[in-house]
Amino acid sequence: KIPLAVMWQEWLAADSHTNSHECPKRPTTLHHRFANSTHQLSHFLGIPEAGKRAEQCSCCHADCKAHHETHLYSVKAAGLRLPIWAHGHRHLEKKAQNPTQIYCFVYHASITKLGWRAGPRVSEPLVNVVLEALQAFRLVSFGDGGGALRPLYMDVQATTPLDPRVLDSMLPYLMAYYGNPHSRTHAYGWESEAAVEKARRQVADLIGADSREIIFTSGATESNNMAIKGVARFYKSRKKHIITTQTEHKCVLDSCRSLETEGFRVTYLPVKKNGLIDLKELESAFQPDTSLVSVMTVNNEIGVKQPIRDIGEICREHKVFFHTDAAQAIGKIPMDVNDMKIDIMSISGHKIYGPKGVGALYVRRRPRVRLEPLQSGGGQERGLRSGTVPTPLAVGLGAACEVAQQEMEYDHKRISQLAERLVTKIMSEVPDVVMNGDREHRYPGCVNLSFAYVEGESLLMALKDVALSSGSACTSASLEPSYVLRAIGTDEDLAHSSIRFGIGRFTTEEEVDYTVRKCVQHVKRLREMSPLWEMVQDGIDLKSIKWTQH
Amino acid sequence: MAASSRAEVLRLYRALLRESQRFGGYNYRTYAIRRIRDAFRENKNIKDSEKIEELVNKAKVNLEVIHRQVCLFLSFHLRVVRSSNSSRTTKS
Repeated sequence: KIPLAVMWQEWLAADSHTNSHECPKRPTTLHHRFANSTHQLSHFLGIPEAGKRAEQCSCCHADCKAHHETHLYSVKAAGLRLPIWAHGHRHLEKKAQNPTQIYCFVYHASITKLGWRAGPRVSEPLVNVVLEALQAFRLVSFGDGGGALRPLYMDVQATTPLDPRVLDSMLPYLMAYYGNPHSRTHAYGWESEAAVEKARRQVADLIGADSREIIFTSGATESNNMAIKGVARFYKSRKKHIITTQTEHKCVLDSCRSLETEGFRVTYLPVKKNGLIDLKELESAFQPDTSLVSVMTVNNEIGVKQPIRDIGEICREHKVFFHTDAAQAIGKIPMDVNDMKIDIMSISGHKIYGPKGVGALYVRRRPRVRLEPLQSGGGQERGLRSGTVPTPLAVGLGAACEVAQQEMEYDHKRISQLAERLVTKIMSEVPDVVMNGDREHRYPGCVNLSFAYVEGESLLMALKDVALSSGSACTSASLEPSYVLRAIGTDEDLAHSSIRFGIGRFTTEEEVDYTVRKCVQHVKRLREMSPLWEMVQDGIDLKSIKWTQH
Repeated sequence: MAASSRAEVLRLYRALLRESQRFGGYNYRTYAIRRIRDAFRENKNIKDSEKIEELVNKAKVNLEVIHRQVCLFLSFHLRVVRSSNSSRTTKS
């Protein structure tokens, strides 16, 4: 049940600049018109008088109750001195049977058709009091009448919304220029190919590569698979060893596991408590037949940024290929494949405000990295990834990369400020909060906090009007705590109570403030209910308790 | 020349802001308004007329992009509601 107060404040502050009237005041002041789609809502208001009338209204048309409620909205709006659009009521005119209906109709009509602001003058504080009371009595059940409220989006590590500029660049290729970029004989093919090549150049510019080194794939998962399995299998006659870390993305770990069944040896490097790998351990892990090192740039769960430049140096010395999964890092921190000595890099479209279903793989040409292709076919994309390149998606990825390059500095500054604000506020108001991952070597937009003595799932469910996650999206279905948190050595209980806050380009300060407020409120509430918290308050050390065996 | 550029720039600024306020999505709307304001503020001291011309053209292109996207949102009846108590909310 979403509180009525929230719903009403929606209405009170409905932004109706869609009707494009020029407004000197802020859009949320109470003088705007309501759009006609009030009728879409079908919420039953538990206000006694309204209820009576709604029931008495025999259903002269479908959704009578709903229809009546919307009248009530209009009435309330009128009471608050808000002008309302007129909407057709001719059907009621004919069918109104009992006096109540006529009353409703007349009342409503008088407001709407005559533009007359009727109704008692209700001051806003009074309305708020009524709303709070209703909320307390839980008189509202929120049906989904197509007007359901949507939560705040604070999960940008899972996916990001499309930037409008990206969508704008994709649309022509979805509507008009629909040719196959590999058709060589006609203009449809040529224009599509030109678009794909332009996108390739845009992606390459972002990472400092040559456009011939970019291969479009279906996403970072495919790129990771291609990189790891492709390199390993190509050099398998002489090189049988791969190095990776324990905090990699599932697709990397799974690829390595499948290679193990093929006879390769894989070293999973442990990470330190702060999430970074130990360079000395990396050095000692090298063997004469190591073919590939795979370390992700920015972790999607805890946000730590690995020392890619140093790892690149080490790999160059040992003449081993260096692959990095840069899905979370691209477009957010400056990446240069030559400066960081990266040989293969995976890029994901939907993490940088681009479309889902597209990604790219950077494969170095000098010195040449050879891959065995995973997907056989017509030899597109240098033979490494056969299949038609999806022009609109590729164009979207290119546009997303270009926008990211232009906006990188601005976004980074803003996201750092917002993240700082989030963390400082939460940590100052609530004790016993641990940030997982290194404080400095991180990407600020991914904040993973563990709230001690609070169960993570219950906190997530409590924060139902904020879209958050604990752990990564691909492991969110399982009940186990995330393997990344286990790898950095968090205790089981802290690992269970971790929440990941994602701050992106479109996150506003108000959203952050609201999230903080709700989070603090629910953590306090859940801790009040927790016997463990009581014991801690009494000074008992939880680790010293001997839980009895039954 | 400088005088007309100034008027043109101001006209563009107001048009961009006005168009962005019509956006149906809360996040997009707030981002567009914020970004436009910051971008114009950042570049307000540029004197080089070529650079100014380039930026003005960029602004014109972006105005068209915003206009198209706003219309798309409207035509799909997409208005994103945020269930927060904050005053800036819209309806989906």
